[in-house]
Amino acid sequence: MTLLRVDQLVKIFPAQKTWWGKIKSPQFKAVNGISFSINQGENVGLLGSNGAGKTTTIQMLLSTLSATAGHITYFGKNFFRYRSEILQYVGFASTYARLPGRLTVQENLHLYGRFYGLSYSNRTEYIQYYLKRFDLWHARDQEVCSLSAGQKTSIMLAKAFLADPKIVLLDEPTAALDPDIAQEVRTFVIQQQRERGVSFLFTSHNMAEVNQICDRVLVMQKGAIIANNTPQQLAASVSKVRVDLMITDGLESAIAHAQAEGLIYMVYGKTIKIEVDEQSIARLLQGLARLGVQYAEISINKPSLEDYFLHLVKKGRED
Amino acid sequence: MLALYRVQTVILRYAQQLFRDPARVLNVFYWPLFDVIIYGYMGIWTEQGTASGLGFALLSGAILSHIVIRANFDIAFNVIEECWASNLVNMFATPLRFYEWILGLVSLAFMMFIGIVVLLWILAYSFYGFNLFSIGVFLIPIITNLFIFGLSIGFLSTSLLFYFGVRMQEFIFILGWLFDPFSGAYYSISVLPHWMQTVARVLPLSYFFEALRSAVTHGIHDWHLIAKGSVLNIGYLLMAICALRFLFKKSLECGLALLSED
Repeated sequence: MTLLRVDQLVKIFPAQKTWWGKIKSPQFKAVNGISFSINQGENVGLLGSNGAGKTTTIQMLLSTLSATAGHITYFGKNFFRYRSEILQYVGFASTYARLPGRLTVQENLHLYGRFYGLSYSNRTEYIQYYLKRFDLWHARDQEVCSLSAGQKTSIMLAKAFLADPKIVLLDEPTAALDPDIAQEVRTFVIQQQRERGVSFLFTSHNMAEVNQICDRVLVMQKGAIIANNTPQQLAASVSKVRVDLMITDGLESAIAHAQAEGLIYMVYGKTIKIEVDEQSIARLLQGLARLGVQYAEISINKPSLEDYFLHLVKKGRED
Repeated sequence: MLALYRVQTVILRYAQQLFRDPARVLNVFYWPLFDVIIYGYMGIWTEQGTASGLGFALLSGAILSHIVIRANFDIAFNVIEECWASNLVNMFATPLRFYEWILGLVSLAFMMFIGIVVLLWILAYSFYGFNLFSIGVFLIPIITNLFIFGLSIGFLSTSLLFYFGVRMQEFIFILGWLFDPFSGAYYSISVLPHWMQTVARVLPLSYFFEALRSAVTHGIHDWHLIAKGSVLNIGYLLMAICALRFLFKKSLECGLALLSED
């Protein structure tokens, strides 16, 4: 069952002017006719470099930013017409939005529960459940401004799930979090997907994270979706593998060889990382052996989603 | 050792921000101008005054002008607070409708209005033995209309916030008092120069304060003034609601998230 369908969505930001009429920034097309859909229980990642249009897309999907053209349909209903009814079943959390800092954790969550029309007993029950789930029950009477970044993110997630949503939009929820807390957030997302069949649209810069929790990835570049596939398929579309060699003797010869063969390489201390086609690995190693290059360690890495993303960024810059 | 280039940098840092923001520049000049006008014309009026109860007329005008200022603040500052808290996106990502939000803000402002009226009544009576309600039910349409005009200014302030974002916060402070020199709260508008009287006549406030003054000083309940002012007031309210709705929609073109950026 399709929960969210986006058709030919366009966002053109108007030119920004100073009060004396000088143009600060010209008209800008941030989202260029994107179309995609999300099915029930599906976890979809929205990837792209800064300025690709991810947050703009999320904001349009919440109606906090108007679309210039296109259609958004949730649960088979036109979002522009049935906004309020639809948002009853849509959760949202973002690193870039904040909750009122002078209200306590409980006060904030009760307020948001009221916006969704939850009864006092339901609110109390859900708030207790989520705060205990995130180990924040002890902080329930603390003002939100006194919490750490990780705790604030957890409160935002609790807010997003308070009204039992069918789909949750998460805009970089783990940005600026410590790895352990980011892992906790990922675990929570996966748990909600498996146990409650919640669907997600998840933006992130962390490729490992997207790889871990997303069933499908939409890749955005310059406002357009340029790929829509599973993380594994996207990674597989990068034909090159990375050979990491810890050189004990002949690092300069190895670099010269990579340059002569026109290969992409990176040097970290005594380690050289060279990208080659899978079938050319033997040829590379033979070449290095001929030059007398010696190495203590070798690892051959299959392409990851991150490699795919880096290739994409590089290609975008070349274009 | 004192480094002049660092002092210059500090000056540059704040001057750049000041002159990039017209509301802040206006703020610099508005308050001295406000004091000169208010206290100047108040002096002229009291010099000319011969009617009894002049002091109470001045007191009631000064007290009731707070209803307008308060209503504006109760609407606009709650919106500014949402912008400062970067919470608008969160709120409008819920089923909350725009008109529900505005109705909530207005209801809160109304409760504050009742509280303010009671407080002002107690204070005026305790300090000066002046009973605000001594003019009877005639006070009710006056204070209700003042509250409604305060709402109109509050909606206008909020509209400006939607269009320009929090950089308009300085102007919102001014807007509450912008109509005071023309309102006749502190003096009769007859002491104002002709052009200011013309401005005052298109503002509903001048009718209500004129009616209040004639009730306090002469005991005359001029319902005709109230009716004229009320018609103007409804016109201003409708225009303010249209501006609010239009500029909220306009703000969605750049997104609610942008409103929190200075």
